[in-house]
Amino acid sequence: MLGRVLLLLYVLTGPISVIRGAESFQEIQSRITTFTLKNGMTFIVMERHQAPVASFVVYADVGSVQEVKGITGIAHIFEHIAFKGSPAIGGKNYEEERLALDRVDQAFFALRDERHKGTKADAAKLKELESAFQAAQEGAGKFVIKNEYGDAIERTGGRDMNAGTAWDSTRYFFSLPSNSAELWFFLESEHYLHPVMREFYKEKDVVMEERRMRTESQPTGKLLEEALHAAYKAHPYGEPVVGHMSDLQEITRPDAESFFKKYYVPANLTGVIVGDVDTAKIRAFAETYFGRIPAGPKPEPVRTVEPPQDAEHRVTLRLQAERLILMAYHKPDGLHPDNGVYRAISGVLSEGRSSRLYTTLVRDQKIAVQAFGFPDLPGKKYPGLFTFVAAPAPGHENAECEKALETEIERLKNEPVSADELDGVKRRARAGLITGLADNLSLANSLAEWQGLTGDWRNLFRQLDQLEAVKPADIQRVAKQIFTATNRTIATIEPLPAEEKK
Amino acid sequence: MRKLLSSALVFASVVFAQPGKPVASFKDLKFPAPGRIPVPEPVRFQLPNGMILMLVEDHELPTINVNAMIRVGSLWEPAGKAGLAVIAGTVMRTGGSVTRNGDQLDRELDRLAASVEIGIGGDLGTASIFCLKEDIDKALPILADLLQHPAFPQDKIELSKIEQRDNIARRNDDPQGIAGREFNRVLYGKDTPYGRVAENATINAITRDDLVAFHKQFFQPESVIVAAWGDFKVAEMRAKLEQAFASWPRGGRPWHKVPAVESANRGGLYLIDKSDVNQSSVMLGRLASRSDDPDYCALTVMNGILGDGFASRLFSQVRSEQALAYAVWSNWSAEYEFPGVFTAFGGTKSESTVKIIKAIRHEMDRLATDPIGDEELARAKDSILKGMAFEFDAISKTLGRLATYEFHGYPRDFLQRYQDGIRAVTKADVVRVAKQYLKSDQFAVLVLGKEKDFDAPLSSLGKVTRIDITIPK
Repeated sequence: MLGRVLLLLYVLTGPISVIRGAESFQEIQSRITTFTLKNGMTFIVMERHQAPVASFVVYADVGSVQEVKGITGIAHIFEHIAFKGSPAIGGKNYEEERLALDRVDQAFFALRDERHKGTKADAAKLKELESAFQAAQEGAGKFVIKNEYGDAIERTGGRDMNAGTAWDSTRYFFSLPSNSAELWFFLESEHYLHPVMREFYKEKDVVMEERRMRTESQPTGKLLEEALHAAYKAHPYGEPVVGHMSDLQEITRPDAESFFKKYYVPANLTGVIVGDVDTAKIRAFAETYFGRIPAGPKPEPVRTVEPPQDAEHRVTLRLQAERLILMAYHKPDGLHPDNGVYRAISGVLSEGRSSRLYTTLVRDQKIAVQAFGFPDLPGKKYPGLFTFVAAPAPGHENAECEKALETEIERLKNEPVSADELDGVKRRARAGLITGLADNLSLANSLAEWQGLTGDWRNLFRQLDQLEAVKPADIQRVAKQIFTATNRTIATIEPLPAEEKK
Repeated sequence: MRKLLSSALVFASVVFAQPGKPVASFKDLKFPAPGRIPVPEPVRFQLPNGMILMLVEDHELPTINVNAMIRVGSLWEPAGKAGLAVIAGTVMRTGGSVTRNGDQLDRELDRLAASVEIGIGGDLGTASIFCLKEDIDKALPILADLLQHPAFPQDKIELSKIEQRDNIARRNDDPQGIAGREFNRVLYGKDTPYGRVAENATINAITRDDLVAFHKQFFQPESVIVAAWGDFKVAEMRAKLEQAFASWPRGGRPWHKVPAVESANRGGLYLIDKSDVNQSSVMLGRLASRSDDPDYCALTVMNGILGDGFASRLFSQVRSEQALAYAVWSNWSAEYEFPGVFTAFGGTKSESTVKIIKAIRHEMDRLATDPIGDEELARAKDSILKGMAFEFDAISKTLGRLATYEFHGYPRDFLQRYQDGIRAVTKADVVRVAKQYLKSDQFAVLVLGKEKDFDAPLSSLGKVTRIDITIPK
């Protein structure tokens, strides 16, 4: 069906311009239904009957930006804990389990308080408290049915079960054979209705391993953490999603309970279902399962606004790793009217082998093996960063790449981009949107993000109109506005000399 | 296709639904019968020059994809010129053809939002097109030309060599990447076609003549299977493909056989000491089987119980219970024409390195000794069998599978046989293959980590062989 409508548009518009903006996606948009439950939770459903499967996403409008000092990492810990289940899944005899979990908390508090005494802590007492904590965890462990949540999905033939926490949001998703759709409604509603935070303190250890893997033992992970920290002095975009190690150690189950209660209200949740489903049945399931969750007030937005940067920030990591340079400029949030302009800049600079950064730094000057720039690191909800990355070729320095990037940035300010380049960006954006429609899960994720972020999934299609309207002069205007030396942070990896490596 | 799609639609006919009562447990859920899986039937034909083509119409989106599989790979490159295959693939695309300038192609394709790419891996080369349907007449002649008449200009060879030297320089920056590479080299033998890696010296040794000769040796129509799907009519697309490829003369060289894998026992303990990490990457394993091994289905189910998925034993015990790792899994990876690798992986803080090796071994050993539960056998089988619809959720998957089977000499109904094989696996089969294949005391165990922070010396587990990852100049 979609194919036929688009084909008609080709015939009308000829082979060069293909399809124009959002209106060409009318047919697909007409197949998308939305509804909101009484408790405030929004759903989006798109029927796609190519195969008897469907993908399911929940977008929670809560991420690490909601954290304050002392509880960094808690949004991500909750994401892990959500998979531990509810009274109805993942455990047995909840009435007794509840008491056992309280005893684990008490044992943790006692141990923590003794540890806080530092050098004055009593070694014998510490040991005793550690075994008491261990024993309490074993006591609570008797009620656990290990990973029953994941087991239920796998036994139904589910795929792609995962979740992700970012600065702006937390997402939970998986795909199922479409006849088993009700399983998603049951499982997913349970962990917002009544999450049981069992195995909480063990899962914190798992998260600490995740931090070691992604950040502490990984040069690019270290670079990103340092760059964001240097770029933001006030706004939580400067803090790592995974959290600081000391906070991960200190966070308690009651901390996570109160974080959950405040932010996981239905008004903060969007459910998206794409696939071989029947919209009327989906709506009935949504009311039956998610309708059980009590309404709550939409939490207040983040108060802190990043002040304008008026000094260049530089941070140098000296590691056992090869060179890398990251150059980041503050920009407005991802919903700003200039959003299309930033996309166009990114497209001209970074898309394909004919892009400006590839042709200059990589192909012609041969000083880099990779070079690109893109908007909205680390998020779109609040003012983010337009970030350039270059990987110097062997024998070349970060400074050479920095200079070459600056030359290309100055060119953006001083001369209009060609109509040919800009048309290419617009056409690739349309083609990209078309290919994104082919996969249930990626389409569900896109719809969820635009709905969660902007309150209207149609903006997924409208962003094309925004890009379509961009003129060469807009690129010059925006480039002059944000690409200034005092508005940037430059973070680099410099290799340690060989003799210092071991 | 239309017919198949509309019959799938029947199962989603509109029913007026009312909110019901929530079930108390997921075990109380009653699901309707699964929907019918539509299976597209590609049109297959062979050109007089030996090239095989498979086509399926897919009208959902106004795009066309072409994906050619080519019998070429680094397995057949000379040891002293490791890197030749990958450079050949890259420069065939970036360097353009005798009559088409590579940089101009870049511009033209980017403006069309189309891609034409060529890449060469271990036992397979690929050449592909993605484009909006109206651009196929531009993209297809480009692909055909690049495959037959690559120019291999010197400046693009140099550019590709820089990229390869950079890969070499950066190959020790990512801990898990290092562990995976060296584990592979231990199991296959570091100087064999399956284990060797490119070095600065082998890259420097590659000349333009080598690339021209390599292309001549491997690129011939008899060595190519093309799969195409998208918004076209089969008859029209067939004519376009014939026009693009019919004039490509036969090369007359044989279909290359993959080199033999030496089956020497490569067990033992291997250590890569790296002072800048605080998490160890631990890999345990052995050479695995081919996909057509009679035990492959039983081994797949065995691995499902051990370490595939959120409810597997490794995940439940080593992660959820002992909290030793974020990443812990196992994988029985079979290849079509040679033995793959069985790997169990765990990433843990330096201070629990020996502990996690023991914990993973314990789970492996327990498979052969402790009884397998009905539930866990059912999970491992059902996650494959009930999820079979996902193997058909895109036309490209079905078509790609058929082309892959033909390419590697497998029967067309291999997936059906696999499905039947999985269905037939019993607990006794799992125990039998666990006993036969999971002798963890004979496995290779490789650790990358900060040795001085380990909980116990690695030598407490046996004799340790140190691997030096210093990059030769």
